[in-house]
Amino acid sequence: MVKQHGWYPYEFQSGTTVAVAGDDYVVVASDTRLTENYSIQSRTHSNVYKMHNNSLLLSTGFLGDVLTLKKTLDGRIKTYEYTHNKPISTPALAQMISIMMYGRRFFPYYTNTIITGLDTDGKGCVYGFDPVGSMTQQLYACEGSAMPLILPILDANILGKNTSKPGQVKRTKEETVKMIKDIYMAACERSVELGDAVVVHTLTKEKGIETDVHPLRKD
Amino acid sequence: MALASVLGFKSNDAFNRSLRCDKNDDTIDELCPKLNVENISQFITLPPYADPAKYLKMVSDNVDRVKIQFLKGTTTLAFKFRNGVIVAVDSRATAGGFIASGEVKKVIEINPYLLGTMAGGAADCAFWERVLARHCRIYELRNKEKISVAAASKILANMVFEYRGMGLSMGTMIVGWDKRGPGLYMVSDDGERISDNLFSVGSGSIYAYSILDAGYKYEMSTIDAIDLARRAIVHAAHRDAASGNIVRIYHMKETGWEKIEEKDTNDYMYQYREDKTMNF
Repeated sequence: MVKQHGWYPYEFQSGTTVAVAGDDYVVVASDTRLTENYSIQSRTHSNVYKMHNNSLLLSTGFLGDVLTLKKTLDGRIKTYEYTHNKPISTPALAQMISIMMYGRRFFPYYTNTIITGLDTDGKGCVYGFDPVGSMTQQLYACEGSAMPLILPILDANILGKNTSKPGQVKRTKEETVKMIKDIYMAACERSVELGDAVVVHTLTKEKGIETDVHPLRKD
Repeated sequence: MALASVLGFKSNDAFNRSLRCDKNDDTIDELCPKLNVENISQFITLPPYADPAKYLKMVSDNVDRVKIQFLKGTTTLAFKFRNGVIVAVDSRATAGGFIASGEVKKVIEINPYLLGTMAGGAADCAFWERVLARHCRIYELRNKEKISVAAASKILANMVFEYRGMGLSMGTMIVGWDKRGPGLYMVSDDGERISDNLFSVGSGSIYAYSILDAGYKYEMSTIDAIDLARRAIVHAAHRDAASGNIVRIYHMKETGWEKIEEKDTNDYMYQYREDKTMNF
């Protein structure tokens, strides 16, 4: 393809993230392969970032914007804590991200972000954003290069959509982790940009963040 | 440069302008000022290129797999009748050809007697209507009376007019009840603000208009009005690929708005096929 001479500030680096909210937990997962146009830049780069207030930020797209977003957000979370004398709750943080990302409406952060955490009642919550900050609260979310492969599986497994048994299926924390690992293993068979390993974090009130790394195909 | 002047950027020298920008990201982080109509420019960053609308369009065309797709949505409608205003929306958000979400809340509850709908860019509508909500609340506190629908829609239209031609995409309807009775205004991203009895906005509006124009009477009962709104959204969802999933209906009365229902459009379509009844 002929590319016009110009300034292209964005790149697209792969990575797929999944987040599922439960009654008193949140499970998030990311693959660890970072590619750029069919070359692998890293096999150990996770797209999950722990924020100061015990929320988990999942961000894919252009790595430069992802890291800047995380850095700026960290600063603002600390400022909130110092001015309000308490850690910021995840719903408030989601609103803050929405406004911050809209601040770059005319030169967007090229990221597909998800923020997850426990809300003030201890229930798991997942908020998804588009590149300019449109916020939606969801039961589960998936973003990244393999999203078209993974999202339909999540629709069918979690909400029973388009299956012979419609309706939401409630799962425990351990069952959700197992389901997510199976989904990543299935998706990496068919996606070149997914592989190496999947990192699964579980966030609960009692135990905080527990991490589990599961290897995937390296080819 | 229009965008630069809106964002408070003063420069007479074209060569040095990148060095002398006063408003930038650091200011926000130091002070965390509260967002209001007067200082919006402090929040929105000046981009490093001249024409945002043209540049964003170029970036969304898949160069080197970079595809910035914003969530856009779809079919919204509102009409006045003798018992108030009915607002009905679908709930699908598309990003390029992909359905990003089927549960988007396209009716924004500004306050208990004002509603705004969302069509076009989801982030644009959500952000500017949130600024509008804050401004309406301040008006209420300062003047000890509720803001009129005409004033609220005027505020929104004026805010958005400043960014005219820069690529915002917003087609919203402001619905409310004030001392003049029910109010319905359509405000769009080019600063257009018009009032009428019946509006539909979005990619599926053409289909919704045909149902609405066929069955609309000002003297309708509430039940008939809700049925008409529901049919219009369901038929638009059926024919427009970018509309669908759930239909949400609100009724604006003298005492404020009331949410009537939110149900799947697919189920209604099967029901209408079987019934084969139309009142008009």
